Amino acid sequence: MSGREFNFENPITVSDYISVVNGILKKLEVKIIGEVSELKRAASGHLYFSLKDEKSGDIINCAIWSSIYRMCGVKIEDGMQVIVSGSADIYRARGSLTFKVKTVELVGEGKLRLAYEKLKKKLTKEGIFDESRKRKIPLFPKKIGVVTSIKGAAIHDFTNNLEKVGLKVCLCDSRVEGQEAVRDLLNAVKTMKKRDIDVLVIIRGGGSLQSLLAFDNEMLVYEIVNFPVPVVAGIGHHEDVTLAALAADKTLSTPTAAASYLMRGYKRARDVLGRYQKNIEISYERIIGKKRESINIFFDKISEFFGIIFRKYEDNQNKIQKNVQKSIFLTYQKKERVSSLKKNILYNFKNQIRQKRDELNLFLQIVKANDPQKQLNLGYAIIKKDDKIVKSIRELKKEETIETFFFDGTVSSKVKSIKKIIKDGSKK
Amino acid sequence: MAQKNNLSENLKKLADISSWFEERDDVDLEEGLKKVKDAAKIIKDSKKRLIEIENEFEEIKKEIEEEDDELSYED
Repeated sequence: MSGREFNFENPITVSDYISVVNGILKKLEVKIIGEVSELKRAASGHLYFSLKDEKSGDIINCAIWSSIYRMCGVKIEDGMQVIVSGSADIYRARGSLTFKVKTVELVGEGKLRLAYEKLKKKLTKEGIFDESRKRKIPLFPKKIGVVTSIKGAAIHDFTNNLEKVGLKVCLCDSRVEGQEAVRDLLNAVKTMKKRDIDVLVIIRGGGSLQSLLAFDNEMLVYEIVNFPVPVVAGIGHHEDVTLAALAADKTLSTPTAAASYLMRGYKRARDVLGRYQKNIEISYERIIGKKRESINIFFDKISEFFGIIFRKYEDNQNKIQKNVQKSIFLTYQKKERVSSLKKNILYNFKNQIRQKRDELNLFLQIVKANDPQKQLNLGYAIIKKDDKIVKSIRELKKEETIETFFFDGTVSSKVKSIKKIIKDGSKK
Repeated sequence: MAQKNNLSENLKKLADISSWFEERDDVDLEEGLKKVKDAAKIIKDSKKRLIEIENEFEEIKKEIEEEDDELSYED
């Protein structure tokens, strides 16, 4: 019940009044600074103590549940100056006011540093920070879990430095400032345990010992150490590196550096790929160039061979032409010779004919001159016996029949007597 | 006859034709002319194929460069 529902003009019950007051007190979350005194630890592990105002001596009773106390990472002792945050309420049974502590932090840089050194020593002894315990950060993480404040600059610094390689980034929002951040960080880390990620990244910017208190928390350190996948811390530090960063498998000083580190594999691969790509391109271009050169060389060779063939053709053609011309010339010469011979032959032949004709004419004249008919015309006669001309009396005998040819006919007769002519012209 | 596609085979054929000419002091003209014609055809096809290869290679290079620009990541 809230006070607004009541009409305070009329009396209300104690219970109602306590409810009203508790309702108001619950909304009043404050930080109180004071000195611890009368510290008592219950069997349950809860702590009860008084917080005293050093100046006025005023006291307020405080209680811190064991789970919260374990989380806060501070060992509360009497006389210790602390800052507690939380709200108060009235315990009904006793009517006493108790401040329910949510966080405790030491006051003073010196005290904080002492606590830091003490815890660091303890954890070092346990081997929490040993390099041998550290896990390798994957070279090509695909699923990255990030714990940081979405309101801070760290998340932007981180994501702006991630490569565009199809990453899945899972963000869990958490306060990162002061002791109050411890609960958020622990819850965030526990939430990330259930997520399917390759690496957990816890990031925030730098700050004072006070502002980075949550990252020196012992529980957070153990959560990081026991996280199922490797953890990268990109936490800016105070004078010393925070314990959470020391416990992480890899620590970088800024969220940007953390992103860069996570992307180292991709960057290297990109460089290598780029180099291979370049080499392959250059090599392949060289091969293309060589092939082109080979083709051109073959082209030149073939052209040369072709030229040789043509020249051979031309040579042969020229030879043939020369031979043909020679043949033509020889033919012409022979033709001329033949023509000349022909002329000679014809000329000679004509001469021969003429000569023969002349000879013939001569013979004709001789024949004509010696034509027996001519003799017959002169009164001579030709005597034949048995169709043969009788040239001598020796060819004849008495009583043989002879033919006597006169120019105008023939007489057949018999030989009556034969008389031989003696050289002095007398007959016998 | 020259095959359309295989540049290496074509270059081998050209090398064979070239050797054929080189090994002979006296070339048979008819045979030589046939070889030259074959070689001319192979050279023409090879040059054409080389241009095709170069163009394909440029396309691949372009694709790789475009992919680099398009790569993205998911939140």
